[in-house]
Amino acid sequence: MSELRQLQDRFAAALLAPGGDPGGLFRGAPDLMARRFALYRGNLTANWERALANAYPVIRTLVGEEFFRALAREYGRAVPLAEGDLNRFGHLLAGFLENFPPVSDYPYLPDMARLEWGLHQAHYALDTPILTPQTLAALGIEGLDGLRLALHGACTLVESPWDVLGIREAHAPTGAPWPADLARTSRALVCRPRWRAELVPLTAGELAVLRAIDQGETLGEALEQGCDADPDFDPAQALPRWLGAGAFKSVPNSQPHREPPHERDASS
Amino acid sequence: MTKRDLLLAATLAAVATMGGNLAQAAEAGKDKCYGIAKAGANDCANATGTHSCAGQNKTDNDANEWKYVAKGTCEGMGGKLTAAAKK
Repeated sequence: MSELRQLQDRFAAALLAPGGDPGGLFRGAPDLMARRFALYRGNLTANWERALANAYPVIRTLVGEEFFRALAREYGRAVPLAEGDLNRFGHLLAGFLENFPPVSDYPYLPDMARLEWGLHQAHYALDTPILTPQTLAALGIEGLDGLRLALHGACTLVESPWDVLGIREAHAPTGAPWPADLARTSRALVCRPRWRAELVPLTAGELAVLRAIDQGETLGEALEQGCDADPDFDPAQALPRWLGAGAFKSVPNSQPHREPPHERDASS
Repeated sequence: MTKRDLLLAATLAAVATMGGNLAQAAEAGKDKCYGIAKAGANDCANATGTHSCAGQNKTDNDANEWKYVAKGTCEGMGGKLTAAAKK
């Protein structure tokens, strides 16, 4: 067993090393073995590239096919697959791009990757029940105040100092114009109402509320933080839009988690 | 009323008037989900079966050097960025 393990390790190391050679692992003419090994590596990197391209169509257009192919290879080497599902392969690309010198001239790329990953994972997230207005309405003011919500599994919050929303639109089939100024803040909720991954643009106040909820604050506390971040924040506008977007997980029908209003202990 | 009470009251009023529209809309949407499937990256064989894996006809001798030149649309937008990029 341990000998097999050693062989596998040698094979994998040769596969990932630049110009790596498994060195006599297989019987047969050496040049034929080298060609077959190159085929095997070709399959591996082609699968990496396809998996990344599936999740990051805009990044691919931004950097070009050739660069993207090389990027997929560098990424695959730096971040070995931890699971068999190739749809999860690209989940660390944003962090990788942040520390990847060849793209340092394009500082919006990591956030663009975050946005695209949000849309990608929204597409594959489980179809779990969403929170309905009726559930909230039944809670009354006190119930709402102490309610702790969670974002639905398909939802991600996106915030960037770059106009990643505009960049994405410029690459959409509808062909919106290029953003005139890339240094424009983007705030959005990635969601998946009616089976389609979508983006709901957010104001600073709305983002503050959703972020507080995502961090486990009660709804009352989160709303107040939103109001502090943006005096124009209006829950009467925001809540219906969020619920319509399927932003939250449904809460159990049992008695909601309650705390005495305005008397929160520090343990949360 | 405190600020928080006002916010919560506005929230309650908004969700109470939403009624059942949301649930109906969500259900109706479930019928209209054709043509939105994303390609599965785990697919290996092609439909005609001429080869069994995506990269089967590609060899890769994995040269160590590759050109660090992004030839995509970044170039078109990148020019506007140079000042901002130098943080």
